[in-house]
Amino acid sequence: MKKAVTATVTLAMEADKDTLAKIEKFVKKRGARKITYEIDENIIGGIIIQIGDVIFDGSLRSRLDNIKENV
Amino acid sequence: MYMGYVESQRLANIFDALGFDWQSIVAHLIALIILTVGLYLLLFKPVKKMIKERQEKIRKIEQENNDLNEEVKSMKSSTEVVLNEAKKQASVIHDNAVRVANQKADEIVSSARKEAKDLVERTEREMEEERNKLQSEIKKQISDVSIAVAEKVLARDLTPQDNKKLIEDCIEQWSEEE
Repeated sequence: MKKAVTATVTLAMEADKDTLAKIEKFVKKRGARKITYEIDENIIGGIIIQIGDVIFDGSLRSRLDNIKENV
Repeated sequence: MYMGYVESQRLANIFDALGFDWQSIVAHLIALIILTVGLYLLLFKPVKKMIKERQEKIRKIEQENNDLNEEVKSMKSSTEVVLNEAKKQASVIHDNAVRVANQKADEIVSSARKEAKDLVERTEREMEEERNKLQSEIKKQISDVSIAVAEKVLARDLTPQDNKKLIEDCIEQWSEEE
């Protein structure tokens, strides 16, 4: 994976410190030095992490969309 | 010659005694002869000729009549033969026409049955497709509604603890995948 500078983390609501620490650890392990947090209620719950071109989508929104497509 | 003169004188005396005028008689006889010959030549012969011609004509007419009768008989006979033949042929044609018509009718009925069967099958197929399409549509709508309801419920009922669990599970899973 290429080293990218900034990671964008999207959450549905504010997370506690413990969760934020785990997020930071995960993101830094993948080469990101800076983290930007966004709150978007549309994702309903879960997390979306974008590091460069790579997106880790663990949002409830995407899961519901997958279910809709597969029905 | 003297004997002849005497005989004729004697004959004349007899006629005078009886009161006959022998000159008149001779004249009448001559006249009769002339008349007879004249009648024969002017009347009897032409009439005989005419009668003969008429008879000949009648004979010819009778002959022609007989010939015509024979011809008519022959034509009648031929006509009957032709008529019988025509009747036979008409009967054959009629039988053939009936056979062909029956065959055609059978073909038409068979074709109509096949068409009807195809139509029924096609209609059933289309109805099945329509039914499937409708079912898919209904399923999709149910799914959409269910998803929408799930979104609303999740958005309303998701607690921070649930969200925390979700996030941590994702991070753990992504970490294991690497």
